[in-house]
Amino acid sequence: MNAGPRAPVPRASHVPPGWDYNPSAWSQRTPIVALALVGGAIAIYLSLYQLDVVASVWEPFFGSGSRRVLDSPTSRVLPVPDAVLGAAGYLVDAVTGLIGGVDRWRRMPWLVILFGVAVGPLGAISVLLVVIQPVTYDAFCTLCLASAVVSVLMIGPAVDEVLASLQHVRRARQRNVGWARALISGGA
Amino acid sequence: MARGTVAQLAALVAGVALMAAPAVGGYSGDAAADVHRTVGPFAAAIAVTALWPALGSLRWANLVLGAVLLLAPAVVGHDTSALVAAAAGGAVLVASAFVAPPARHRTGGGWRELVEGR
Repeated sequence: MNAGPRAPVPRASHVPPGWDYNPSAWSQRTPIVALALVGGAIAIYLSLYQLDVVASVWEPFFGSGSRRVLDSPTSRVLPVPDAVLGAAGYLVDAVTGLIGGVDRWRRMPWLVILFGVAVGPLGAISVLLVVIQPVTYDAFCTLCLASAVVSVLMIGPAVDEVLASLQHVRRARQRNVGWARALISGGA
Repeated sequence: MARGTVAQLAALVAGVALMAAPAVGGYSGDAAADVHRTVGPFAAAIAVTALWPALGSLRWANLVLGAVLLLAPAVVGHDTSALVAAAAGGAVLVASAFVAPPARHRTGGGWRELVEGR
């Protein structure tokens, strides 16, 4: 008996309930990882100046602004120069952006939340540093501004994935799944 | 381009312009410059971030920043250039907060879902 053309077997959807796209899709995450790598490259270059590996820093617009900012007491307020911390932050962003498949919003909520925690505060700190530069030292640093732009651009796409994971954890909790299991495996 | 997108882009431009205004307007050493150089970067960052589906409500933070700009001349001295920057920037930020970015995507009820649930 000819049953006619078979309907395609539906694949398990990776789109969160109530969403119309998958925030964990590679098309969503790859740009974030690329931005993190760009930001990391900038931060590593600035680190090399702050660690005296290179003698000067590229500054096309603000004259001695970059040197004043990068040599400022604020940049040395912690045991390591702030650009080194920035580079480490971008590395965490890139690594946590790469780990996991396209369903990680429900399989690895802890990782997605860690990713959001890494991206969000890094962006906020970058903006704060952009405020401190002119207000405290009356100077701007081109590459610091570029790094801040990169950080801010990463926030939006990262946070929507965090939202999907938090919604999933909430649903798991409503099914009486424990916090630890809900966060670690999504309650699977 | 949707009105909400234009509104956030206008807030972004206003934020960047506020960062440059003290140098352009010649009031770099004034207290008004500190206000504008503080509000500007935050306003620009909020405008960009509010363009994303899950963060549209963040635009309301620019209502607060716009109000700060508009009220600052009553607290710290502003010369004419600073006054113009404060009025224009404040007006754009306040107005941008009332125009929601387009809801291009559904996000499962957004953050409200976490609070209210179903």
